[in-house]
Amino acid sequence: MKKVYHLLVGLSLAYSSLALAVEPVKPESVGLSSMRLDRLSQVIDQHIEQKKIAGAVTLVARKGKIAYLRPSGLADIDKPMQADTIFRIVSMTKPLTSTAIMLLYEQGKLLPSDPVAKYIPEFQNQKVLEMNPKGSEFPYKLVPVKRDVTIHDLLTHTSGILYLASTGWFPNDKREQVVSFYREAGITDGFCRPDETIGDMVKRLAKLPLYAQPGEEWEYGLSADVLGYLVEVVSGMKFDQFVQTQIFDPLKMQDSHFYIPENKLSRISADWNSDWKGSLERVTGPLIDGDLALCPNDAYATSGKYLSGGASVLSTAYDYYRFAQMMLNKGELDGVRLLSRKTVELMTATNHIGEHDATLLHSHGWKFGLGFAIQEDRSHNVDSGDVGVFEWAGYYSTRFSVNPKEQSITIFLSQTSPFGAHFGLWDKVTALSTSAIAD
Amino acid sequence: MTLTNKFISLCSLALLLFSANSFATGPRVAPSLFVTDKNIMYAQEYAPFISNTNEQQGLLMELINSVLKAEGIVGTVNILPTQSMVQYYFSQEMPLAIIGPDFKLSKAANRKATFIAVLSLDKYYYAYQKDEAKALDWSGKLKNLNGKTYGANKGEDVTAYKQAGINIKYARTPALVKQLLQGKVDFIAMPEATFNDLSKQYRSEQAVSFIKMTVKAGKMLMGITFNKNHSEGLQAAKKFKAGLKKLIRSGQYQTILHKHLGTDIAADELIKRIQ
Repeated sequence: MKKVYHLLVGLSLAYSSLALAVEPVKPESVGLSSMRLDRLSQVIDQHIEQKKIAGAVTLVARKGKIAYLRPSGLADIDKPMQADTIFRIVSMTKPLTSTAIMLLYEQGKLLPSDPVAKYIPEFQNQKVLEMNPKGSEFPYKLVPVKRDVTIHDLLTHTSGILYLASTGWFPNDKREQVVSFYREAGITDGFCRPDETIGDMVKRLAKLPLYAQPGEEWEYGLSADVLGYLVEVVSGMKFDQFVQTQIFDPLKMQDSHFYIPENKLSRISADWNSDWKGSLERVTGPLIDGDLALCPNDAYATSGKYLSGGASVLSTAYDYYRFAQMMLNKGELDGVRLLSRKTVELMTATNHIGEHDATLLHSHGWKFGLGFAIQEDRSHNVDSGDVGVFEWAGYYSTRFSVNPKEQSITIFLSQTSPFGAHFGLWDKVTALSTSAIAD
Repeated sequence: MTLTNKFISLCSLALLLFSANSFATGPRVAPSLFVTDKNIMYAQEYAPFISNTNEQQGLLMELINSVLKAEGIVGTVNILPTQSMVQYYFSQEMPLAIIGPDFKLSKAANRKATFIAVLSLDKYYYAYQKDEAKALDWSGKLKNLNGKTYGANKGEDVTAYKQAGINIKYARTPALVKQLLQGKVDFIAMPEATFNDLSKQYRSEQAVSFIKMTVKAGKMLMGITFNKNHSEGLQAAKKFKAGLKKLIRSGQYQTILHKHLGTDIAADELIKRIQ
């Protein structure tokens, strides 16, 4: 069995991007060092050999050209990873959703400063949960919002809307109380695909108390799911239809989907459970980690109702590269202008969240733009990149990073649970791709 | 000062007062500032009787809204997705009333509550059933369901089930229906209209595998609970009671009932129960 495993890993390592008609350029032609990029390959291969991850597709691009596109390891049992393997990109859906909102902004249909209630009336008169002092007759109180939640709050995760899973990340009584309302109201984190529309869920969510006053705390949560529904309300189109026609089609992202077409089912990577010590198992059923219900096998559904703006998209390294390159090009790709330069500048401005830090994926020194984290300063524990680098990640171990100063893009797609163990590998991937810059 | 100068001065003053800044898209005043919540009422979503998804907001809401309107009881109804929030508002704030199924209010909250039943419905047990030959039936005795799993709502009194050796699994009503159809719980209890409404969405996706037990599971009272501590609470309750009687006498109650539940429903019997 071990021999077969090594043979498959070897085969997959030898397998380049043949399945995809993309021919990477010589790294040196875009100011990257081949030798240094080999170090990146070595680190990923080490993780595969040690069975920390089953496989990955890694992409490094610079100056508008892909210089490194490497599938490694396994996509599924007995199936080598391919350059065009399809991944659950989960939270890397969020920047696509933000882009959908900004397209509507450019069409004059909404403003980031607009209250969400202007479009979704259920957001009127929201309440914020505050804990009463210990020993009080009642444990909490609900106080009116000081101001309405705006679209900007949703884009920057300062709306006060949580993920249920956040009780595991940052436990406290207040969070637990808010999440207990979420549970009772049947709110899910969108990592499974419930039998309801996103509008059904968002309307219930709007009636539940916020964790914090709008704009007063940075809290990663279901805000992007609300944005997805907002796209439906403002555009009059189903969210997936809007993203397909306004983003995927113009950018020629041919392998990006909310629900996978039947003929691409075999291209989806399996999800693997790793203890990060050499025990790697293919996930067959739902994963429940506290409140974090994950249904990796929902990715095989060919149709359904739920369209999560925070988690639903399936995509490939190449497709996501096309999206990232459009952002890096300030809104344009291959002669197609999706967003204006000024809109991309607005989305990637280093600080939309004031004194708060976006400290879920990163540490201090990172802020949040309109859809992704942005490196703001170097006076903290920052491992690589430059001020202005923007990036985000997905729960099943996917990550992208765009460096406008160096004109470089790094994308790493794997499918391994649980989430927390991957931070070190991701940071090494971005550090090694950055240190491959050789001009 | 000439008339023209006066006009120009007035225009300049107006420009100063209503400059572009006044209309800029900066921080907006929350709409909540313009909505009075003095006579607010909270309702718990319970399909299809209290619902956000249709204009009449469901059968119970149509009955209640008809009485409120006829009696001139002015208030805003906010339909919430959780029972806990409705309970919170009644116990901690000063709503005019709460609307929904029987709320499990605390003793203190109960002291200020005056409940008026508006609708009484039969509840039935629905059981997961793959094999018709082994149809689950309680025949009026819970011990016949010993060892099975009952899907209950949070806060529901499940003492009798536990005493009969029945396992309990808690979830909200829509989730219970889904779990039943997936065989994750063995049986649940709810009004027929609720089961039919909620199970509709899953039936097309999977084989229907449930039965409705013939012996009724009990009754469910739904209505409006006025807040005696609210300055208008007692008076509103009195008006509502009288208004409900008028609605029944006029035949409008029955018409609304038939519209939602069909003409086969024994309206007179249901009316007797709430009287």
